[in-house]
Amino acid sequence: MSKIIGIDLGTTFSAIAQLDDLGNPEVLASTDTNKKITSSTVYLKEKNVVVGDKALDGLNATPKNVVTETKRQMENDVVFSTQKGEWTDKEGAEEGCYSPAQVSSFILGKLKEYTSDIKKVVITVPALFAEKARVATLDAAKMAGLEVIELINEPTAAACYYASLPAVKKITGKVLVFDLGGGTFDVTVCEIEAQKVEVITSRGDKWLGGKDFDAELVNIMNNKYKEATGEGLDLANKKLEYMEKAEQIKRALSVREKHAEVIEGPKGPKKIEITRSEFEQSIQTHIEKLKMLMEEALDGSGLKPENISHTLLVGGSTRIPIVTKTIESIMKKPPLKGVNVDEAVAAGAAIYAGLKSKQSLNEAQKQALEKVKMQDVCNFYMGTLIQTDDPVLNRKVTTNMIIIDRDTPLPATKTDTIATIYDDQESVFLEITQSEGREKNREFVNIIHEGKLEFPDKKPKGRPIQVTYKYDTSGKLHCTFMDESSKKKYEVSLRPESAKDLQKQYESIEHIVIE
Amino acid sequence: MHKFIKFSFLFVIFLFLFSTYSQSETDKLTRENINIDSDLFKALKKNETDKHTLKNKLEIFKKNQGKSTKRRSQPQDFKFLIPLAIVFFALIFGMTSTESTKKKNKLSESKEKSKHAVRFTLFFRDKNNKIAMQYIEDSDDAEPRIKGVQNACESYGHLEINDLILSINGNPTKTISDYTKERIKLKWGQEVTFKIERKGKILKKYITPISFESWKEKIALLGIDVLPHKKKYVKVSNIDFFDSVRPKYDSPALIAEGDIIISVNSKKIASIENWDKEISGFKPGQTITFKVKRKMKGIISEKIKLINYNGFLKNNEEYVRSVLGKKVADLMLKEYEEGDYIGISDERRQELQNMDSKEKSKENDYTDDDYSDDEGYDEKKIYITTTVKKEKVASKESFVLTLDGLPDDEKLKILRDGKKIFLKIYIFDVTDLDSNKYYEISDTTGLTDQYFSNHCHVIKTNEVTWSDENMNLIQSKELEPYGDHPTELAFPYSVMQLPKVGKRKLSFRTFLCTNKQKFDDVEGRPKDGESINYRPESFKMDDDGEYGFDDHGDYSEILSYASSEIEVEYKQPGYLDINRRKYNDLTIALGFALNQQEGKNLKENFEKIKDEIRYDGDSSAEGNIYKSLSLKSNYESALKKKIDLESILKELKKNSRIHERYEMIDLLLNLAITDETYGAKENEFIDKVAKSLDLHNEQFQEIKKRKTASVKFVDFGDKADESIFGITKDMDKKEKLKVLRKEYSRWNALTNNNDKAIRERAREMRDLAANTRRQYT
Repeated sequence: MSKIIGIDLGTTFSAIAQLDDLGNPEVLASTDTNKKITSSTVYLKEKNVVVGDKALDGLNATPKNVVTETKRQMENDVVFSTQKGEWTDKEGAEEGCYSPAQVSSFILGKLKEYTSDIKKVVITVPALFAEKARVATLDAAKMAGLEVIELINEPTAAACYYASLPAVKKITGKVLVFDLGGGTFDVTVCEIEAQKVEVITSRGDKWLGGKDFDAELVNIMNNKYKEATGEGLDLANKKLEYMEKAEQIKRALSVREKHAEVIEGPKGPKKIEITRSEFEQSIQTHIEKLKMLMEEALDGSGLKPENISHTLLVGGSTRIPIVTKTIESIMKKPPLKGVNVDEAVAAGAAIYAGLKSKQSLNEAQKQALEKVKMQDVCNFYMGTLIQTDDPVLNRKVTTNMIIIDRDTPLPATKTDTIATIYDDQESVFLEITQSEGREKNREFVNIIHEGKLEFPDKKPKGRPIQVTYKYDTSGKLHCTFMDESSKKKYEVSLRPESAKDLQKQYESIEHIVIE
Repeated sequence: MHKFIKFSFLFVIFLFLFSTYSQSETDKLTRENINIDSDLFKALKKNETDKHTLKNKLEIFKKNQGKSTKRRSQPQDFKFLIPLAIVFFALIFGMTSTESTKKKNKLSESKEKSKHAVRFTLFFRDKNNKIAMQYIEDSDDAEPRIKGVQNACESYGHLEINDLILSINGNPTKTISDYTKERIKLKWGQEVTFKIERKGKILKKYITPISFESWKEKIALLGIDVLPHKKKYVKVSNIDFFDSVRPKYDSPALIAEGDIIISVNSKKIASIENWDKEISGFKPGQTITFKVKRKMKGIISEKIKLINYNGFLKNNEEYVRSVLGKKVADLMLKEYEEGDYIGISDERRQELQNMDSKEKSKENDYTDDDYSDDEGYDEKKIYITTTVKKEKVASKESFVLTLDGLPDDEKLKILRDGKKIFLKIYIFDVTDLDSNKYYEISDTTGLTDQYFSNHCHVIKTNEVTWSDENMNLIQSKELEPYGDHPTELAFPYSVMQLPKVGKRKLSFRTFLCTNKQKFDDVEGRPKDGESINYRPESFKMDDDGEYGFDDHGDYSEILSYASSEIEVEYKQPGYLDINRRKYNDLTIALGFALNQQEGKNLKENFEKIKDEIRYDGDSSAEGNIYKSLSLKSNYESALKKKIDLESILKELKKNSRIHERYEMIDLLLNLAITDETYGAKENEFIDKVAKSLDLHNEQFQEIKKRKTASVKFVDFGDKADESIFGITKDMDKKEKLKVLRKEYSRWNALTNNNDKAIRERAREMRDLAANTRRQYT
């Protein structure tokens, strides 16, 4: 029987979990290191790749072959160039580069080895992962030989896991899930009752995580080294190495007020001491972002801190003392501790995989998941572009009309009406939009589909066209534009589709062995 | 009654028994007498020798004889009284029956009291001069001053027009609402004390409203309400169904809304008081002659026979039964009556209609035959009417023009006759048209056309889709048989450009015309051959409206015309107010002033500025020369850094409309990002202009954000950071924190944008917002 698997594909660490025979999620350990979380670092060699902690060994010898933070590039048209040792524009890149999807597929391939007989998986993504990034994740899974049941949002998975814990089953009420990982930050407000999780709203920053704190520490190291030696560190060539060092310092400062570390630089090794206070000072701008996003999430849910019963922590970066202090200052109470913050997302993904594969469950598993229910929300504004009269400029302008609001519970169906603006108009150009913010300006929305509805006859302006959007839990958006008088329709279903060159990408890495 | 019968019967029985008893007593005596006599006789016959027995018998006989001859009056002697008693009691019965009937009637009346409130056949007018309906739910706070008292009702002779009702039965009535509340407490048949004020004196009047039935018989229902019109007329403002003027639902009212009342029974009606006085004299059954002036038809006379309330109820019932099945009609009429004839709510009416599955046959099909007997009606002519009102349409303040009388499909087929039929609506500012001035000019120089041309201008627009070739605002629609014919058309306020600022009166002119009817490009007026036709103006100036728009058939291609007026306040300079060339000059100067300090991009900006003013509507040779000269002189001034920004801004405020100011900002931003950068100095300049021109900060910031989203910000330094986010010096800390959080979220959301430049800009701005906010937390 196929296993029920959930995967947390993280920026810095990834994990894989399965439901055991009793229906409890179990995070699987690496067959190499016996660790439950695997570094998302990839070391690219000619015919094989190394994934995990071992990949960091390549930093000394061939740092340009070491790829980190792949997840942050999933929405970009970039490739990793081993020549340059960095992500570079896809256009004009040399042969032998790797796309973010390809690199991610190596990570997934590695995780796959921790168990056997995996066919279908649920993979988690940040709540505000763009469409392109979701497509890349699906492609990565395909290239790794995995069939994805569904992509679910990380904080939702974590909430699901929390709700299923025996000790925590008594959590009810409004809960804030604070997910600060290595590369992304999500904050989600949901309602938990028994094992039922209903998401109310999500906010986040795809470029905010532990790695950014590491980068600030690298700056401190650089300044201190320069102060001490007169010369700065070789950041151009050894940045990754210093970033690893910074992470070690960061971990140390989470338990100590200060930490000294020997830093190798152009002027030789130098012992540098960094205090917790210096570190906290350096990340104040990022802390400010955390605060603002928490405030946004509370505003978006219409709740105040006193309405939130618990704050749940997810992600390794929540171990940093200033982060929990910040949470406490905003929420007016300390967050809930006692759950493994590194494993919650993968475990939650496994539970969700179980919910989606009920026919594959045994009786014990069915019973364990019987009461688990989950409802997510739409994390984007879905709309269409229309012409309206701008009262400010006194002329017609193109503006974005929102059909489905952000935070609408899924599945969502909304209908609105638009109309032609000229007499005898023969057709109407259709543009389906997606945006994270409530945007009217066309410049600020993403057009995810374009089409055209032609009319069989001519009518005066004001001809009504009914627009219906249906967004389901799997992330599929079905749009219908119907001319009310002739009943002629334009319909399209949008779901994350594979990149056009997926086959080509797959073929280029087919031969590669993952270590 | 039953008790009386019982008692009478018992009394009669008693009499009968009594008389019977008496009779039996008498009869007994007689029998004894007879026996004695018989005995004596027998004795005598037998020669009874028993002298004692004979003596005894004789004594008994004598004794009895004494009784019979000397007896008192016996009941049987009063037998004759029995019939008398019966007659007497019959009379009594009759009288009490009458009383009980009266009582019965009284009882019935008191039941009616609870169903039908007391009415007094007098009426008031509310603050808008409309007849006050006197419904309890109305809150009419006009004083209860009598405006009409109908003839031949109880109030007549006691209450008069202009009496102010101060109280009813001692309860004060300060308003019509108070009066209504007191009135409905009254009972039919019960005397009511009115305390009134009449010509400064306080008087008491005592009136007994007889009954609802009596009221229904006596009240005359005309069914017309009027309002004052032009100081010396009254105009019909409302027509009621099923009353005298419109007894049948599906026949037209004999007098229509909009008719001007000239006279009633030859008595001139020059005011609403005249009208109220005349209608107070009405009685049901009378035939009243009305002379009215009707648009497009002139003066017409109508004879109307007045019906009473019962007549109204009958008409109403006939109609209800004609449209509803018996069951539902019965129910509706019953509810109507039980509701004291106040009316049935729309909801309930709908419910009843839904109950009724019978297909309604009420059609208002006017065929030519219906009109063929009417005077003054031309079958071929169409009589459209319009009204205009202010309304919000699709969230925009708009003027909504309602059209009535458009030709139906069959008519259109006839009218077309090889041509196309159009509905065209222009709007004119008629504020400055003065009839006295018009008549003066008409009587002297006769140059009324010139007067009209100078004092009545078409409304223009900036919107191409709303205009003809010369930017005159127009709605034009071809009417095809079996096509969509509009009954309402909306004109958003925002698309209109009035000629002048301030309180203006607009005239919405609707033409039903053929495609052969031309309209002047510049003035928006219909053309008569090669000349401009000012008939709409002269028609408006015709105070009496005695003639139709085209009584003589001079404008054969105009099939019908209607106009409606409305007032509006226009808060910005009108197109005549603005000196267009001055505006262009200022635009050019401002464009060059942007970069004059740094002396950069002046040459590149020259072309952009030139493009901006190229299509301003003035394509005359003189206009082009003026523009070229302005470009040259301002360019040279900019090179020498001599453009005075303050004076430009001052002039611009006087010579630009709101939307033009935003367009100016748009131009400045386009000029600023020519080199794909947005500098601190440019930002400062544009912020200053926006503030001087009183632009709405949020809207301005939005335009700025949109324009600068994908360009590099340069030379800002630390101090200028806040202004990029629209933070001003007068904001407090809380406001700044709020703005910065909003900005952070906005830019954070844009890090997902498909455009790489926007994504990168968004990341920078997001971090900048967070960093700036740090200072305040």
